[in-house]
Amino acid sequence: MTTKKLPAAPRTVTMSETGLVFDAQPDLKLNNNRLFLMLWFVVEGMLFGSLIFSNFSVRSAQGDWPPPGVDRMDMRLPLLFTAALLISSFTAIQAINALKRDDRGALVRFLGATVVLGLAFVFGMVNLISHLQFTGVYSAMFVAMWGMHVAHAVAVLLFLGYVLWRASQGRYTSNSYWSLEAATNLWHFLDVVWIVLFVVLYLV
Amino acid sequence: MDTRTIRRLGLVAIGLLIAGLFVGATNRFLPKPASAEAQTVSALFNFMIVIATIIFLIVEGALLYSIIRFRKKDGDETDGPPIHGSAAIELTWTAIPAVIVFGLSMYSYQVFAGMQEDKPNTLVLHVRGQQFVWSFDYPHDPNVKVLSSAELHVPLNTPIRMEIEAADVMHGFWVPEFGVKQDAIPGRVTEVRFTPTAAGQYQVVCYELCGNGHGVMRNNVVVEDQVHYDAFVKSLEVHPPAKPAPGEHTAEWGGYVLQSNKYGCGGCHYLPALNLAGQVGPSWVGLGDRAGARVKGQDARTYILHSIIYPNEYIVSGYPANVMPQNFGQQMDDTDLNSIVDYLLAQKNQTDTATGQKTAQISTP
Amino acid sequence: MATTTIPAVSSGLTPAKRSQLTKYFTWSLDHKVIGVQYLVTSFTFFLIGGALAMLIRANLLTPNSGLFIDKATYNAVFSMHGTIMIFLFVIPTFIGFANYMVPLLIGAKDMAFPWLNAFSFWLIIPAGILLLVGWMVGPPEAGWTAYFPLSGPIYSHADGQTLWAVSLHLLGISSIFGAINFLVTVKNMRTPGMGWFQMPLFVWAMFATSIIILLATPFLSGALTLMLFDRLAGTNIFNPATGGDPLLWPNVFWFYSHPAVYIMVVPGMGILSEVLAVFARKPVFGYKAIAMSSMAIAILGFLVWGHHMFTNLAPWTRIPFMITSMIIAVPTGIKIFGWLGTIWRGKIRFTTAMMFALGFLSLFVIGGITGVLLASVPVDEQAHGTYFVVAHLHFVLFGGSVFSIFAGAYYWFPKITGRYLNERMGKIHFWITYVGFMLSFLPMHISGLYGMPRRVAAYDPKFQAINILTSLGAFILGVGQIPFYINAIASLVGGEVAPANPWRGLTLEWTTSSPPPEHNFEGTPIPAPDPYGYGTPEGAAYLAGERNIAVMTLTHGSAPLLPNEQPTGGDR
Repeated sequence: MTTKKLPAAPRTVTMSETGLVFDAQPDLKLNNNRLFLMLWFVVEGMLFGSLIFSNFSVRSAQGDWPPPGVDRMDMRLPLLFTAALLISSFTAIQAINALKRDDRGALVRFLGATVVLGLAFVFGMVNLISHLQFTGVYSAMFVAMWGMHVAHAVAVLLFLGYVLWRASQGRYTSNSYWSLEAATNLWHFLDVVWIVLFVVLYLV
Repeated sequence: MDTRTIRRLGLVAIGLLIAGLFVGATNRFLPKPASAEAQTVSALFNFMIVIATIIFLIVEGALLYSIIRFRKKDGDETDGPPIHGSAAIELTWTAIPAVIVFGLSMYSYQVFAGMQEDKPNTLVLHVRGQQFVWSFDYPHDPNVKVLSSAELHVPLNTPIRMEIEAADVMHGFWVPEFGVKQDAIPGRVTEVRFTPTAAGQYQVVCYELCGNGHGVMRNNVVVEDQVHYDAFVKSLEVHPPAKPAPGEHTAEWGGYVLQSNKYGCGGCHYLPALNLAGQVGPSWVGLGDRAGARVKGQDARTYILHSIIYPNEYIVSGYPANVMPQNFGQQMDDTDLNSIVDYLLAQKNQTDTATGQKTAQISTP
Repeated sequence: MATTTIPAVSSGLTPAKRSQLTKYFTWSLDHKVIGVQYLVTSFTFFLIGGALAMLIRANLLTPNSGLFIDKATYNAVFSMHGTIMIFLFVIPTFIGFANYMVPLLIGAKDMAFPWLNAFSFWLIIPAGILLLVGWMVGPPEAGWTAYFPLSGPIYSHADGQTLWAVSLHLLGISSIFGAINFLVTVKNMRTPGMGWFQMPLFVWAMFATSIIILLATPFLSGALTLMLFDRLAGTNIFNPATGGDPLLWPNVFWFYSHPAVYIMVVPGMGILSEVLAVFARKPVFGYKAIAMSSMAIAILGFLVWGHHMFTNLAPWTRIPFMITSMIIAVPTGIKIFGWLGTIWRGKIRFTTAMMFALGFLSLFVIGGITGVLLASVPVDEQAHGTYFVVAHLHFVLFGGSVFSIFAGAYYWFPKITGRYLNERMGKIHFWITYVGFMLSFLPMHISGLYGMPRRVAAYDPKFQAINILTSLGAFILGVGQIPFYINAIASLVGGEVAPANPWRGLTLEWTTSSPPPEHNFEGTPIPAPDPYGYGTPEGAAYLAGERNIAVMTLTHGSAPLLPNEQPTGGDR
C-alpha cells in the first residue's frame, strides 16, 4: 500500500508587523490574460483546422482538384495583398518595440501603418472574391475558408483600431500594455493562419 | 495471501468462468444466423459475451459484496483504513484489460478480414435505396429487359455481393439474420458481402434515418434454392408493350410502368398481380371497384389521378399523411400518369386476400 | 501560532435573505450565482427533454405510428430530445456544478474571468430560445446527428434545422469560453499548498473536460459553418450531385461529438470520486491513476470518432478506430476498479448521494461493456443504428452522467443552499429512478440486436411486447423525477438547516459556511495536505479544525505562499 507523499513548497516567508508575509505571486491578472490568449489560439487553430480538414476531405472524394472544368484560383493579386498583410505584422512588431522605448509617436505611426495595411488586405481580397462566381464545391470550400479568415481579420482590425485610439491618447506605458499586446498577437496569429490558408487555397 | 484466500479466490474464478461460458453458450441475444457471416459474427459475439459476463459479475459482485459487508456499523462514526492504493493491484487491473482488448481486437480483425473479399462464384446484385423503399436489380440475360423488384431474392449457399446505391438521402441496408450492415451513400456505390445458409423469409430493414417513412422502410427477403431463384428472376422479365403516342394512354402501358418500379410505387402499395408487395400505403387490390365512391364529387378516374398528384388531399383511414412523395405530378409524364390511372381503374372484381371477399362487394371505408 | 477554526454553523436561507433571490435573475459576476443560474436553467431543460422522451415512448406503444403523433412530428421529437438533453441539460449542468465548486475546491475567490463567466451563461438563454423557436417555424427532423443530405436544404426545408445550427454555434461559444476560464483558473489560481496532486479529483476532471471542450468544440463550429453555408448560401459542400461529399459531415461532426460524450461523463466521474471517498470514509484508491486516466480519456477520446461510422467508412479505415476504441476501455476500467477499491473495506454511509454514486457504478459498467462490444467492427455491424446503441448510450449517459449529476446534487445542495435535501424523498427518488431505468433500457439491447432499428416511428409488430415493457419503464422513470423537484423546492424553503461541513469532508468547500460568503473564504484557505486523507491522523486533525501554518510548515518543509491582492493599475 502506498503512503501519501506531501509536497514541497518552493518559496520563502518573512515576518512583518501584520504577521507572516510571503513573496508576491507576480501579476496574476496578466498571467491569466496571457494564458487566455494562448488557449484562444488553440481554439482558433482547431476551427481553421476543421475547415482545412474539410477541404482535404472533399478533395479526396472528388479525385481531381480543382474538379474538371474548374479553373484554379489566380494567386497573383492575392500574393500582393498577402505581402501587405505580412508587412503589417512587421509594423506591429515595430510598434511594440517603439512602446518599449517609450516612443509614443513611433508607436502610433507603426500601429497606424498596421491598420492601413490590414485594411488594404481586407478590401483587396473582398473586392477580388466578390467578382467570382460560386458554383461547385471548389468555390464553395474556397469562400467558406477565406470568409472565416476575413471575418476574423475584420474583428481584429476593429480591435486594433481601438488600440490605436488608446495609444494616441497615451494610455500605454512600457510596463502596462496588455490590450496592445493582445491585439498585435491576434494579428500575428491571423497572419500565420493566412499563410497556411494561402498554401491550401492557392498552391496545393 | 494465505492458502484459504487463494482457494476461495480460485473457487470464485472457476465459478465466474463457468457462468461466463454458460451465458456465452446459451444466450439468444442474436437472431438465428441465416448466413455464413452471421455464424462467424455470432461466434465472436458469444466469445465477447463470455468475457463480458465475467467482468460484469466481478464488478457487480464486488459492488454488492461491498454494499453488504462494508456498510457502516451502527454507532461507528470512525473513518475507514487509510489505504491509498497498491501499485501491484493497479498494475494488474490495467494490464489484464489491456490484454483482453488486445485479444478481442485480433479476433475481431480476423472475422472482419474474412468478410472483405469476394469468394469464388460470387453473385453480384444491385440495390438502390430511396425514400422509403429498396429496389433490387438482378443479373439477367442481356437481351431481355428485366424489371427491378421490391423484394430481395437470393439463392441458398451462394456468396452474394450487394452493390448499394442511394437515390436521395443516406439509407442503411441490413438483414438482421445475415449479420452484415452497410450504409447507402448518395454519390457512391458501397458494397456488402454475405452467403445465405438458411432458406426462409426475412426482412431488409433500413437503419439510417432517412425521413418520415424510415420506420416503414422494410422489404421482404427470400432465401430459396437455385431453381426458385431462377424462376423468380425470370418472372421479372418483361416484354414491354409499345409506348402509346403522346396524348394517348393505355392500361397495358400503365401496368408495365408500375411493374417496372420506375417510380417506386411497389415499395408502398400492394398488388400481387404485378409482384408489388408494399405495405406502407393502401392496397390496390380491387381499387377500380371503390375509387368512384371514396370522395364525394370525384369520379373514379379523378380520385385515382388526385391520389397520385395530390397525395395529401385524401388520406385513407389508418394510413399516414406526408409519406407519399408530393411531386409525382412533376416527375411523371402525362402518358405514364394517365396509363397508370387506366391500369388501376381496371383492377376490379378481384379477391381481397385479407378478407376473401370479392372487391366489388367491399363498401367504402 | 495562528489557528483557523471552522466557522460557526450557518443560518442558511432565512426569509430575510429570500429577497436576495432576485440576484439569480440578473447579471452577476459571482461564480456561485452563475453556477446556480446554470443549474436551474439546465434542470428546467431536463424537464422539457424528459417530456419529449415520454412522448416518444407513448408513441411506441403501438407498432404503427400515430397513437399520439405522426411520423414527421415523431422525428422532430426525438431530434429535439437528443439535442436538448446533450446541449441544454447534461453539459450545462456539469458547467454549473463546476462553476460553483471549482473555485471553492481550489481555494480561490472567483474564477479567472468573472465577466466572461457571466457571458458564457447568458449565451445559453438565447441559444435555448432559438432552439425552441425552431420548433415553431418547422422543427429539425434529422436527429441530433443531422446527417446530410437529410439535413440539407433539399430534404429539410424547415427553418428549424437552420436555427438548430445557429443555436449550437452559440452554445459552442459559451462552452469554449467556459473551458478557457476553467483551465486558467485551475492552473493559476490554486491556493498555496495545493500542488497539482493535491487537487480534488473533481478539479482534475474539469481540467481534463476543459481540454476536450477547447480542442473539440471549434471543430463542431467549423462543421456548423459549412452546414449553414449549404443551407443558406446555396453552396453544395455536402451534396454529392455537384461534387460535394456527404461523408464529410459525419467525419467533422463525430470528431467533435465523440469527445463530447466524454465532456458529458468525465465531470460526473470526478463527482463520483468525491462522493465515494466521503461516504466510504476512505481515501480514493489510486488517486494518481484516476487523475491521469481522466487526462488519458481526454486525449484518446479524439482518436476514436470513426467508431460511429463503422458502416460508412471505407472498410480498411475502420480498423484503426476499432483498436483505439478498444484501448480507451483501459483507462475507463482503471477508474471503475479504483472506485471499487475505494469502497472496499470502507465504512459506507448510505446517503442518497452515495446511493446514486453506487448506482452509477452498477449501471456505467454495463454501458462500458456494451461499448466494448460496439467497438468490435463485426459486432457493430449487427448493432449499429439499432436500439442496442440507444440502450448503450442511455446506460452511459443516464446511468452514468445523470446518476452522477444527482449524486452531486444531493452532495452539494447543502453547501449551495444551506439546507439538506430530504433524505427519505431522496431514497424514493433513487429507487424509482433505478428500477424505471433498468426496466426501460435493459430490454432495448435485445430488440436492437433482433432487428429493431433506432429512430423509427413505426416498427415490426413482433417488437411490440418489448416496446410496451420499455415504455412502462420509461413512464416510471419519468414520474420518478417528480420527487426530486418537489424535494428541491421544498428543501429550499423549509429544509433542515445544514452546517458548514455536513458530510465531514476534507475538501476546501466544506471549510467555509453553507452557503459560502460572497468572497468564499474568511482569510486564506489552507487545504488539507491530502484531500482524501480519511483515516489518517492529518485528516482527523484537519477535520477537528487544526489548519495552522505551523502544521503546514512541519509537513511541507517550508511555509507555502499566500497570493497577493490583484495588481492595481494597467488596463483590462
